[in-house]
Amino acid sequence: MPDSEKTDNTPVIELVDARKIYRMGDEDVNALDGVSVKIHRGEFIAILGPSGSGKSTMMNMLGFMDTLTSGKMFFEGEDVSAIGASKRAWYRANRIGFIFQAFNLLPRLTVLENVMLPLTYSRVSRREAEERAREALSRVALDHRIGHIPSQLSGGERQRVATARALVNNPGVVLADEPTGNLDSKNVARTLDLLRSLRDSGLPVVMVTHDLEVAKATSRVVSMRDGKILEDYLQ
Amino acid sequence: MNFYGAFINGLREILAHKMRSLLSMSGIILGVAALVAMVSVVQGMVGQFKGFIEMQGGIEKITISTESLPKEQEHLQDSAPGLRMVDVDAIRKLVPSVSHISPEISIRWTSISRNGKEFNARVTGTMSDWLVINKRSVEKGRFLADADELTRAKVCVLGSLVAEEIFESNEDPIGKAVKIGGEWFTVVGILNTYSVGKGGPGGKDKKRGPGRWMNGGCYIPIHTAMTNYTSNDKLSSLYVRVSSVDQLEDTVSQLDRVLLQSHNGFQDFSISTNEEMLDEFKKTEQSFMISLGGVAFISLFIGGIGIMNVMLAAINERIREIGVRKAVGARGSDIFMQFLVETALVSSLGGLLGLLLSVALVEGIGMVMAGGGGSPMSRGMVGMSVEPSVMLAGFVFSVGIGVISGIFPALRASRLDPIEALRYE
Ligand SMILES: Nc1ncnc2c1ncn2[C@@H]1O[C@H](COP(=O)(O)OP(=O)(O)OP(=O)(O)O)[C@@H](O)[C@H]1O
Ligand SMILES: [Mg+2]
Repeated sequence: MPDSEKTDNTPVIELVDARKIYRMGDEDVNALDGVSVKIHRGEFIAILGPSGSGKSTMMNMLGFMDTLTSGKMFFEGEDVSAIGASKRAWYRANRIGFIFQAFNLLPRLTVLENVMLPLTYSRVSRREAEERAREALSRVALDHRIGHIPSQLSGGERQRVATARALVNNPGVVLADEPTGNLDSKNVARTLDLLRSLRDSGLPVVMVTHDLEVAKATSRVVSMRDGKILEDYLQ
Repeated sequence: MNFYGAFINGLREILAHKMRSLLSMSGIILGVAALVAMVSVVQGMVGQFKGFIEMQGGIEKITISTESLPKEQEHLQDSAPGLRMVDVDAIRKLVPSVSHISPEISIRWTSISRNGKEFNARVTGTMSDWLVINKRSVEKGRFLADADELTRAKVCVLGSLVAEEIFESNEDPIGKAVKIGGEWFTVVGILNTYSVGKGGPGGKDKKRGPGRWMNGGCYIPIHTAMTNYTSNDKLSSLYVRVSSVDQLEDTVSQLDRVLLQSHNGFQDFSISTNEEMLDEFKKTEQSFMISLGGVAFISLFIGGIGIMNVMLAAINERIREIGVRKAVGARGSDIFMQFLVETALVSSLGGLLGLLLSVALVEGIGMVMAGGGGSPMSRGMVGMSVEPSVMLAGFVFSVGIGVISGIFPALRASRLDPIEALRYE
C-alpha cells in the first residue's frame, strides 16, 4: 500500500535548516547554525562533537524543550516549528522519552512514582499509569526496587529508572544527552545494550556522547562543530 | 496533574518540612484564632445581652421610676407627689399606645413560711399585667387577677424557687396557705422557672445570682400590699408595655407629658427604655468589632505574606524539580496548580490549627470571666462558644488567603524555562 509505505518512510523527526541564536548582550551565539537532519525508525544515532558545538541545543529542539529561531521542524510528519508552549508540553508528555546525564529523578518520589511522572501529565488514569510504570521498570530489570527512593539506588540503577521513565509513555523517539557520562564501564555496556534493544524494537534512539567507544555501538554518527553538522554517516 | 495529585504532593511537601511548614503557618494560625475567637466572644456578648434585655421584658417595656427632683426644684422635694395609683389611671386614659401597665410596690426581702419551712423572698405588690410586661408565664394555677384588687384578696403567686423551698415536691401548693411576714395568704399560682443564659454556674443555678432574682419572687395584689404593708398609695415603680415598638419614642414623650401634668409639674420621675441600653450596647459591640477585627485582619495579612515568602524560598530550592516536571510534560498550568494547591494547603492547615486555638481561647476567656463573678452579664458569657458557621468562615478565610498568597509564587514557578531550570544547581 502506497499510503503505509509513505508513512514508513516519513522521518520521525526532521530538522530543516534549523537555527538557534542566543543573544548574549551585544553578541549573538549561533548555537544551531543551519542544521538539517532526518531521524527514522530503527535508527540508533550518536551525536558527537566538542563542547559547545550545539549538541545539547539540538537535543532540546528534538525534545520540544526549546524553540527554533528559524528553520523548520517536523515530528511524525507534522510541522511543529511554531507550536505553543502547552502543545510542546503535550509532545514531551506523550511522544518524547528524554534521558538526562544527571538522571534528574525527583528525590522525594519512589522509583515507581518517578517512572509514573510523565503519565500524570498526560491524562492517563492512575491505575493504568501504575501498570505501565511497572512494565517499564521490568524492561530495565528493576521491578524489585519499585518502592525505594532514588538515594537508595546506585548510579547505574538510577540511570535505568530514568530510562524506564523515558519509555513509560510509549514515545516516538528516545533522546539521551550523555547518558553514559556518569557511569562505570559495566553500566555503560548495560545502558548501550538497553538502548540497542529499543532500537531493535523499532524505536529510534538519539544519543549525545563524547566517547568514541560509545559511539561505536550505534548505527549512525552525526558529528557537529560550531552549531553545524560536520559529518553524518552510517557505520 | 489533577487536583488530587497536587493535593497529595502538597501534603508530602508539608510533611517533609514539618518545622518550616509550621513556622510559615504561624501567622495564619494566630490570625484565624484571633478572628474566630473575637467574633465568638462578641457574638456571645450579643447573645447574652439580648437574653438580658428579654429578661428585662424586651424593648417594648418602658420603666418609670421615682427620682429625686432636679436641682432647680430641689427645695420643693417634700411637696413632690411621687408615683401613685392615680398615675396608672391617667396613663390608661391618656396614652392609648400603652397596651399594658403594671405598677409595683416592693416590700423587700420578706420571710415566707409554712409548716416550719422558711424562705426569704422578694415580695412585690403588683397587678395582672405584670405577667405580660415581664414576658413570664404561669406553670400552675393562675396569676393575679383584677378581681383580687377589688376584694383586696390575700392571695399570692410564687416563683418556682420559693415554691420548691417551702413545699414538698409531692405537694400541690395551689390553695395552700403560707405566712408572708405576719399575714396568711393563699397560694393561687406558681410561675414558670426562668433560666438565665445557656449554661455555666451563674446561669443554671436558680438559687444564686440572676436565677435567684428571677425565681425567688412572691407577688401579691397591689391593693392588698398597700393595705397591709405600706398604708399609702405610693408606688416603687411603674412599668408599661407599648403595643408596638414603632411607637416607643412617641409613647415616652406622651408619658412624660401626662405624668408631668398629674405631678403638678414636678419632675420627680424618670422614664427609661431598654432600647437605650441596646443602643449603648451596640456602640460597644461596634468598637469591639473594629479594634479586634483590625488586629485579626492585620495578622491574617501578615500571615499571608509570611506564607508567600516561604513559598518563594521553597520554589527557589525546587527549581530543578520544576525543570524535571516540565521536561517530562508538565504544562505551566500544571506547575501553577501544584504550587497553588500546596500554598492553599499550608494555609488551610494553619487555619485548622487556628480554629483549635480559637476554641481554647474562647474557653479560656469564658473561664476568666466566670472567675470574675460579678454581674449577670459577665456570668452569662460563660455560655459562649465557637459556632460552626464562624468556624467555617474562619476556615474559608484561611483557604482564601492561601490561594491569594499562592498566586504569585505559583505564577513564578509556572513560568520557569525547563532548560534553565534543569541547568540550575
Ligand atoms: N541559554 C543560553 N544562552 C546563551 N548561550 C547559550 C545558551 N545555551 C547554550 N548556549 C551556547 O550555545 C552553544 C551550544 O551549547 P550546547 O549546550 O548546545 O553545547 P554542547 O554541544 O551540548 O556542549 P557540551 O558538550 O559541553 O554539553 C554554546 O556556545 C553555549 O554557550
Ligand atoms: Mg551538552
